[in-house]
Amino acid sequence: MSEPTDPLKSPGALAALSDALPEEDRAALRRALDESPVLAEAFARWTALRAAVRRDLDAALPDRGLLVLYALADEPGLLDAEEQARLDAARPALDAALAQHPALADAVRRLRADRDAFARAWADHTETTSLRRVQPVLPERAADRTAVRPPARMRPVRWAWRGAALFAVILFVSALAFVLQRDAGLESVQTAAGETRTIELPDGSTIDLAPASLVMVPEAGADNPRRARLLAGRALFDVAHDADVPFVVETHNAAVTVLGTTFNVAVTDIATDVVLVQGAVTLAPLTQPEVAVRLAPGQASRVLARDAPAAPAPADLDAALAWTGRLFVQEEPLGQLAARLQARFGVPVEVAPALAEEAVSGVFEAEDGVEDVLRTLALTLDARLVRLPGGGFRLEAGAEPGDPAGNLEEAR
Amino acid sequence: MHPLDPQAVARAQAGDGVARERILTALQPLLRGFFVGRIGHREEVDDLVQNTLLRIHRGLSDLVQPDRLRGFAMKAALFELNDFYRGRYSARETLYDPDSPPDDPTRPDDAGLRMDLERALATLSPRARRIIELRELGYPYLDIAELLGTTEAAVKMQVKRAFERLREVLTALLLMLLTLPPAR
Repeated sequence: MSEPTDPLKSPGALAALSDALPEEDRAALRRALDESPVLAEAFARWTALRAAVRRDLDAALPDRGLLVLYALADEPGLLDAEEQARLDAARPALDAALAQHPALADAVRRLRADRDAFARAWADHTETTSLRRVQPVLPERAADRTAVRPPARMRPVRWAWRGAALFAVILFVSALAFVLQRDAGLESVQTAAGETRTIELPDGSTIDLAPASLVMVPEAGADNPRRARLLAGRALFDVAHDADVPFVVETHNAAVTVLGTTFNVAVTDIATDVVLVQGAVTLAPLTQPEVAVRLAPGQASRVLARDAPAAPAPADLDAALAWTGRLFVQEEPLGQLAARLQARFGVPVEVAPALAEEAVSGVFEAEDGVEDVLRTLALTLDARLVRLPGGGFRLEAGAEPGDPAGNLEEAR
Repeated sequence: MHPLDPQAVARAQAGDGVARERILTALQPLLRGFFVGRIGHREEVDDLVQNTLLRIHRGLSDLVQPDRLRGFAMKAALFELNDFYRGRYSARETLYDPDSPPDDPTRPDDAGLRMDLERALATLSPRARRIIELRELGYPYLDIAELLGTTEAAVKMQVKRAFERLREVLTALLLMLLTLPPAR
């Protein structure tokens, strides 16, 4: 076999540089090693030799971080007292290692070049960047914006999400979401651990902010009142419908464009999860709006890092919305809802066949308990609520004459 | 107030989450520019930025002097870059486990053929060893060339020659073994 003309492509060169080969060269090296036992033997020794070099370096400098401190120590003020003490203690061994291994001195030079590059980047950034000023959010101002929402009760049957003019958004993000500086016209509202707030937006929308959460919302008089950014924690957005101006909720990696709907979004460091309750939303990575997906009610999707959204799939609404303490029901057959209630509250819930296909919608406070929820359903469906002998409840069709619907009966 | 001003840093340290968020947000493009400048437009830049911000986020409360944020962030970035060079961001693939090279079943199990490491290391010239050490510290050949004031091709040729030298010595040993009279 003729030797390649490029000396760095010869079998010997490929073996010598095996740690930095493109895949096609690695394949060529494997073939060469298979064909030549002598080359394979030399390569095995070479690999062991390099490992020995690495072990020598590790023995001379077990803590590589010391090299960073050593490189930075010649600029006053960069090391704190603890770092300086750590460096001073290690300096004799470090000096010996530097004398024995010229490569370590090269690395120190390289680290100092890194340091200088960082200093230039810092100077460039702080001198040339005009960062937008954001109105600080004072606790008392945030408190002014907070209103206590009365407990949600059952809406009338075929309740229409407050006239189909509102939708809800729930966002969940990690405590450390880094976002671009796109906060002009927005102000921050945050909650402490154990604290929740309801924020009223200029366009009539509201946001329920979960504990330990941070959201950027439009300031009063903002040019665009139809946007929000959740930076940490979770929030339930209840957004006023405006057919002409969609509401956009941004996370660190995704944008949810609301088309008039109820949906849930959960965001972690690397992903944004969206669950749609009612209506329609589109979900897209911030960097690729053209790959947006549109969700149907009851569906979920996810944007992982900067990938395109996952194909919409059926969602677990109860799990996604459990933190709100509410039960969201949207045009759901009563028989199906009974199964959800049974799972949620842990008591048997039965529905007469005549009622099983009745579609209901509404929002319930879970803390009110299953009996209260069922009583309200009975009222709205003109049905009877019956307590079962062994525990649990059953909804029967038709209230008894003279007996107001929703009154609890004992099963006979 | 600039998000990186000492006053802003002090507020963040005192528990102002918004001030903290603004510091991290302001640092993000700075760090990205720095890392791209050092290692180029590689996919690891995103992780380097995020992990550096995480270091800063976690350590900010321990920063004794709020006016030292620059040095504090610089150290976080350099430690992270150091980890990158050490291979924390990508597992280095080797054809053989360097600590246990494969035995060749066709080769006679002759102890004399097994070159000890000291002899192998002795075949390296000081410059070749320096290059290999820099490589083991994680620097790409291009960066090594820059550090040594030469070209990447010249550095690689040095490594190739070191390997060839090792192979020659190994071959010489083999020949010597073949010509030795059998032990009585």
